[in-house]
Amino acid sequence: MKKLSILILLTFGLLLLFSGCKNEQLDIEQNLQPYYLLTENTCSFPCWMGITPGETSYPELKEIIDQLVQDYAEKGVAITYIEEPFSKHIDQILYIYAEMPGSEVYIILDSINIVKEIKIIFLNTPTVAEFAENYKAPDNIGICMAHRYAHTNLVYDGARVLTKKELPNYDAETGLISIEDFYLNRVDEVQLRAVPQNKHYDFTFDWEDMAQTVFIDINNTDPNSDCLGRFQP
Amino acid sequence: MKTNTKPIKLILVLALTFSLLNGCVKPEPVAPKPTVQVPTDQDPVKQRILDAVFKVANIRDFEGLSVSVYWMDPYVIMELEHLYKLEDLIKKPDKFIKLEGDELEGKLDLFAQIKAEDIELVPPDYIRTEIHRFYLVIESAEEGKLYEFLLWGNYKNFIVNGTHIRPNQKFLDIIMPLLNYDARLDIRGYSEWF
Repeated sequence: MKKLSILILLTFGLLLLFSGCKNEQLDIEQNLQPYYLLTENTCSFPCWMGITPGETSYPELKEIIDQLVQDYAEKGVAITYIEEPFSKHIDQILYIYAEMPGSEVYIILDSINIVKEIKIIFLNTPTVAEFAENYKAPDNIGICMAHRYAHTNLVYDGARVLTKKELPNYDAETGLISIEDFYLNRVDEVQLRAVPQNKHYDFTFDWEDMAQTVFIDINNTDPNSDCLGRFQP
Repeated sequence: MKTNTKPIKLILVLALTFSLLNGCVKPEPVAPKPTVQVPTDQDPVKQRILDAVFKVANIRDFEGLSVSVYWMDPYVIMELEHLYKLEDLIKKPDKFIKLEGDELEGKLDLFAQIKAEDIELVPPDYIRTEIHRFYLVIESAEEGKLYEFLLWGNYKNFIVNGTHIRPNQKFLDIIMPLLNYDARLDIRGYSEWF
């Protein structure tokens, strides 16, 4: 009887304790940056967690995703996903949308049910500097130009990280576009695609170059560029 | 021998209370949201956009408020003769979502992040054409349309409350909380247009 009353007291106390911690837990999740999705990758980009754009078929993808959900559940990380059909009338999956702490991931399939692209979104949009510090510095910075907009990518082997696009800083007198405070720019998404590597951008800079303002002459793009106007390679 | 359990119980209760009070970070007291101040001395057209944006950011009562989103799949390229006009898009969208009342709570806060320097007007002489493929409207039962966001002017410009502005991703980011996962993906597709 005495033991029972102690047990009841203990349970009651623990319940109180956990309910009191709820707000703190929520704050942690709201500020979480999902670098673990990159640092714990089990294969080389553009392959991600065993899913390879251009190779992995839908049945294989389903198996991998289910395993991923199970593996992370064992680590205490909840992953949920939804399959988005191509349309109500066609029995085909257009993409899988997965929610993970601090992130959402789209795995997009092509018309023959092979993975075409993976988008990993950092919901709490870190700055470029934070991203490089917590993951790693990119191999270089690739820029595609479109209507004076500089689409800047952090280029890694097999992956690229898109940054947020802001209004262009164009000087009509010199005809130059300037990119200021690049390290404070925000990360938009990690993009993994089945495209050949060694693509050429309109402009390429070293990571260190971006520490200061860089100037771009839009009439002097790389002649071997694979940038297609507003679409990136 | 009979053990007196009262001190044990007391210690347990005290220990739990202590850990409860100290083990968790106390939540910040909920303060009323500060009112967003509208900067003035702008171009009057730009000022109207800012007024609309900040009016939305300052909404506290969601009763009678709704957000409707109509859009086409960004990857479907239409023939020129089938260019969509707003009334066609509203009548026959590929996709549609609507949020109402309390569903909007906390989802309009990012509107406060728009600054005057985020808005660059497109000179009227440069406006050639409009194709309407994505339309978001925030409406109040009392005041009617408060904020309209429409894609596209000249295939790349944004149209906010009828005014053409240069595309700036911030205007897409502020509406993201209002969209479902499918609309968010399509907006990402559309952001490749500029």
